[in-house]
Amino acid sequence: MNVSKFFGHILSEKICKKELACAGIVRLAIKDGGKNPETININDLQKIFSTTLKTRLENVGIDNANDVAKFMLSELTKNHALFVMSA
Amino acid sequence: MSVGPATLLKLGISILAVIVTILVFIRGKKAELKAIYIIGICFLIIGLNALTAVSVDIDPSLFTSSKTLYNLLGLISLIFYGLFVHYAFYVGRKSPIKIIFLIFMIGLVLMIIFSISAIVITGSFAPQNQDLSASHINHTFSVVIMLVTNLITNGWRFKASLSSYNEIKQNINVEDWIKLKYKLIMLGCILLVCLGTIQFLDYSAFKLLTTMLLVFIAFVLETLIWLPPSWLKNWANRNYDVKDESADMSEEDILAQMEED
Repeated sequence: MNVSKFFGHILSEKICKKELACAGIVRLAIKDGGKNPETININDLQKIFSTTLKTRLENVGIDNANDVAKFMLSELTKNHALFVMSA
Repeated sequence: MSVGPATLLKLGISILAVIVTILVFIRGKKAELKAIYIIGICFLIIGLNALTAVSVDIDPSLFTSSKTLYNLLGLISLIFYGLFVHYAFYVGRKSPIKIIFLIFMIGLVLMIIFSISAIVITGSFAPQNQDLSASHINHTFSVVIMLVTNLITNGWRFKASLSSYNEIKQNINVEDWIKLKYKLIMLGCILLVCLGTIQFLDYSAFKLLTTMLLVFIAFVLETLIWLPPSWLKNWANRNYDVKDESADMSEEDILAQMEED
């Protein structure tokens, strides 16, 4: 599963920014965490969302970056089955 | 001793099941997902079940004890399928796993009681063609328990897969291969319920052949779901745009677009 595209779409709906840019920021956050966006697993993505993605969102001036990061974590749990299916 | 094509097929399935188990475990380790490990255990039980069936072919006098073990392993595999549904589809959601587990434990205890009674009354080595009432009653009870638990597990697995599929079927960011996987899981549920239903039939060549065929198809289907060959994934994804355009964007472009109002 392409996590950048998938969660980029969810992020763009939440913060009302361009989908491509949101997919890009997710990709950058994954790389910041030293992981590969193509092969990252759900546990690593969980860490990324609460650390590097939050920092990236703060750095680009997103309001309530902490809440957005929490929202992304809840979306990750909600879509747990997709990670099982794509394993 | 009778070692025919059916015995070789069962032996083949048990060897393949062990290989598939190892490969699925490797995937589970990489993905760090309990649900995948559980599927690996299910494959291992399928392999053990096929070996149990082989033991009857080699020594028909082991029918009662082998049949008992076969039914117990079948029930245990259904418990693991239930756990799979819980760990795959209900993470962070309320799941009926405790009630289902309780029903399974009652079924397991009843099956053990019936089996021990049958073995005590008929002897562990009652051959399959011996019409013994105790053995027959045990078989009927076991089949009823198996069918009820089968309907619960596979009905639940079907419902969970369908709900999950309905959530993502319109999502263009989810690969078509994953959408197909949900459908294959639902097909597998139907196959396993059919397999449980035909166990009500009396012992016959037709029943044996149909059981073997359904077990084989279900095994191949589950293997394709969890260890898909690349040609199958590529075929399923033929209309899906795999490319992630954000990968071609520079960091500056991404940040600039994020900072735009």
